[in-house]
Formats: sequence, structure tokens, C-alpha cells
Amino acid sequence: MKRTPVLVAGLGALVLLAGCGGGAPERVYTPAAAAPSQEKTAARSTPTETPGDGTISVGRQLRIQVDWPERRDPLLRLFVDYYVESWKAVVLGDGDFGDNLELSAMPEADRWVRLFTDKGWSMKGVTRLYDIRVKATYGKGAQVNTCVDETGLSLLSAEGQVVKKPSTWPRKPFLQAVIAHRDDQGTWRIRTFLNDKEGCPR
Amino acid sequence: MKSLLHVLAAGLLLLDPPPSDGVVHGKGFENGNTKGVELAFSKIVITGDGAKGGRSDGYQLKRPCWYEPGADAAEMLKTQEGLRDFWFKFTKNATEEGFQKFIQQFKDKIGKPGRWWGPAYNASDPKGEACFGSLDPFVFVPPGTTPPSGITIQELAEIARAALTVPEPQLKLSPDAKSYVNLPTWVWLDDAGQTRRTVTATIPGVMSATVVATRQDIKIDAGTAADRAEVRQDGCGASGKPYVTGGAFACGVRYLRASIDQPREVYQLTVTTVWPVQVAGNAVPVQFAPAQASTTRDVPVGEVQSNVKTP
Repeated sequence: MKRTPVLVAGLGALVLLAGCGGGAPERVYTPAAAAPSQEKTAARSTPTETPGDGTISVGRQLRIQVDWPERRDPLLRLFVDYYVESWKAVVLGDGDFGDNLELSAMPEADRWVRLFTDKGWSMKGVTRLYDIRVKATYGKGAQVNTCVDETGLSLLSAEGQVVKKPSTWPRKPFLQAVIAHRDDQGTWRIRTFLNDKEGCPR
Repeated sequence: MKSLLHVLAAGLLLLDPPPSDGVVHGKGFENGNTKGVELAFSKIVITGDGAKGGRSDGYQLKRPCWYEPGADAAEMLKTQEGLRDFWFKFTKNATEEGFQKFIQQFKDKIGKPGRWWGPAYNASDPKGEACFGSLDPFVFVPPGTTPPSGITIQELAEIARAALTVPEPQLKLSPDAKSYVNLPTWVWLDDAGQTRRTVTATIPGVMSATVVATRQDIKIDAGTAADRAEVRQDGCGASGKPYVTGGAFACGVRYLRASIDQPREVYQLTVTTVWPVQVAGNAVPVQFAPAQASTTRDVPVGEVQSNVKTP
């Protein structure tokens, strides 16, 4: 993995200011907590089927295999739930998702679903989530990492035919990370997504 | 360069959607990167000749996330109102009343002095992302004040220090290929050029801090114990001392034993350049540890065999 230090001047502050927060009211002068913690995650509805059963069916042709770790930190559900809901939006047209997103993450979630739905694409096969872990916690913040293997998925055209995936699609498992924030009600929400294409060697 | 691109993309996340072929959620990052400083969601601009062409010495910021000043009240309101469609699409039981309640906090600040501040982080810190998540998405700050966890001039200087790189020393030795027991091995640097490097971290329109590193000393490690090597570095100065025929030996190593019994039959000679770092203009009362960079060379040391013949 490349470790070159990179010095960046970004435009992000304005953008994040623009995007974070969901419907949360402004909280003035709230400092970062000094110590990491493992706080509760608000109970959330399970998006589909039995929680933690390992395999989740989305429609008739798509299955999501989840390799849950032995220790079930509630934070671990955050990306898994979102991932399942996203595929439900693509495959079933179920648009009722996003409850676990901050406003800053919504445009990316929307873009991702529309990548498929705008062209009438769907998927079939098995996708696998594994090595799910809380990489770091810091007060009301956390980073959750998940390895995603979508190599078992086939792309279906609007006519339901298997078509060749674009060359830019991942050909091997990749690391999907989310940065999460816990609001005043104790609910964790995804603030932004990150990925490392080399982060999950087989 | 990958990181640069992805962080810029992150900054544009809400204004310009990522390329449509991105089938993986979000922007790329380098999980596990721990060197230097990599600013994410930040407006800070890094400039200066010390920010490139060298190597970071691993200086880490004390705090991996902070608030930075951002949009004024009008800009913020406009931006938030621009996200209306997303809010309705992804908020359960969304109503116009709910949206207006959400947006009211931004309307309330119109005409009031101050700016909205938002979180940024150092992506090369293993806790940077989590720390970023711990901060609230926005806080409104009156002029002339800094909120808790808000960036300070001292932290800006730390960012400049973390961005500082210094070049690896280009070593010259004499003798070069092989030395001999009791023969002085002179040490000096071939890169006689730059001995001063600067880095400036700027929040445009708000504040900036500059750090200056000046190459002052070199340190020599002979790669073996004192009973096998005599190190002379009192005469090295900032660049060592180039070999001069008949000159006084004042910078280098005199090996006292052959290296035949060493791993790979060489001594590993390491030269470290030391660059004290100061904040320009004494803008910040902070003492930084010097930046350092090292180079190691193998030095095989042989014995001179003499045959003494009696006449």
C-alpha cells in the first residue's frame, strides 16, 4: 500500500458545512470528546430478514452474505444495514432508506443508486461482506471498515440479460469504510464513505 | 497523487457528484497511511519549498481533527437550501414543516456577525476519521473567537511542521568503495545546495503560520561500538568536510577493526542531518523537535597486510 505523504489544500470545509447534519439542529461549541468510547447504538429496524443470519436475500436473484464477527458491536450494523438497503433500492425499487445517513452522505447514496436505476440495471448473484470491524472510535465518532467482495455479482441490463461490467468496476474485494457520528439521541449515522481498492487482499 | 485527488474530490462531494463510473461508495483513501499530514475536508493551503522534494520525519499532529472557519451565514443558508431534494428523499416522514424547522437554524444567523465552522481532519492519523466523526457538522462562531476544538495559530504551525520534509542526505565518503583499518574515512554531503526549507500553512483570509528548518548539524553513526570505530564529528558543521589531500581529519570515522566478522562483512555507516525548526516571526510560542533525515551506506573495512623484510 502506498504511504506517500500528501499535502492537500482542499475545498472541503465549506462543502462539509453544507452537507452534514441531517435534520439535526445546530449545536454550538461542542468540543470533540477526549476519550474514545463504545457507546450504545440506537436500536434500528432490521432492513430485511433475520438479523445476523448470515445470508440476506434481496429479491429473487441477489443474495448478500454477511460474515458477522463473534463480537457484535452495534456499530457493525451501520454499513451492513445501509448496504442492504441500497441494494433493495436498486433491485426492488424500495426508496425508503437513508435513515442512517447524515445529510452530507445523502448525495453519494443517491448517486450510487441512480448509477443503476437510471439505466434500468440490476444485479444477480452473491455479494459478500466480511472482516467487519470498528477500526477506531473517538468520542461521538467512529470509523467502521468492511471488506466487500462483489466479484460474484453479474450485471443485468434493463432487459434482464447479463451484460459485461464496465472496466472501472471492482475486479477484486475492496475495503469500504464509513465515518459515523452519534447524535444526541444516541443514533449513529454515516457522515461519509471512503474506499481503498487495495484494502482487502484475498 | 491518488490521495490528493481523492481529497479534492471529497471536498467537491456535494457540489459536483463523483464520476458516474464510481461503483464503489465514496472516495478513495489509503487505509493505514501514517506519515506526514494529509488534510481532508480542509481549506488549509500548504505552500513552500519544504513541502515537497523530501521526506517526512513522521511528525504527528497532537489532535487529528478540528473545526475550521467556513461559510458565512448567507452562503450556508444557500447551500443548505440547495440540498432540499436530498433531505426529502432520505428523511423518513419528511414534511415541508420539518424541512423548514431544519433550515430555520441557518436563517436565524442571517445578519448576525460570525461564520459557520466545520470539521476537518488529518487522514494520516489512524484516528483521524473517527475524530472527524466525533465533531458536530457545523457550529456558528462569533467573530474574534475560537470554539473548543477550533483550529488555533499554534495548531496551524503544527500542520506546517507536519508537512515539512527534508531531503535525504547524499553521502560522499573518502575512501569511497572500501576503507581500511586505521585509515580515516571522510564524510561529507554531496547536496551542497539547500540548507533552509520553509513550509506555510494558510487558511485563506484568516491566518497563516510558517515554519523554517535550517540544516545545522550532521550526526554520524559508525554502525559499530566505540572499541571498533572512532567517530569524529566536531568538525562536520552542516555539510561534513570534503576530503582534501593532507587536510586535517575532522569529520568521519576511523575504523579500528576489520569488518570481516560483521554481517555481510561490512559496517553500516549512518549519517543523519539535523534541521532545527522554528516558527517564522515567533508568531507562536512553540518549540518543535528538529527534523531529521538519514542515509546508510555499507562500508567494508579491510586490513592492510605488510611484509617486513630485513635487509
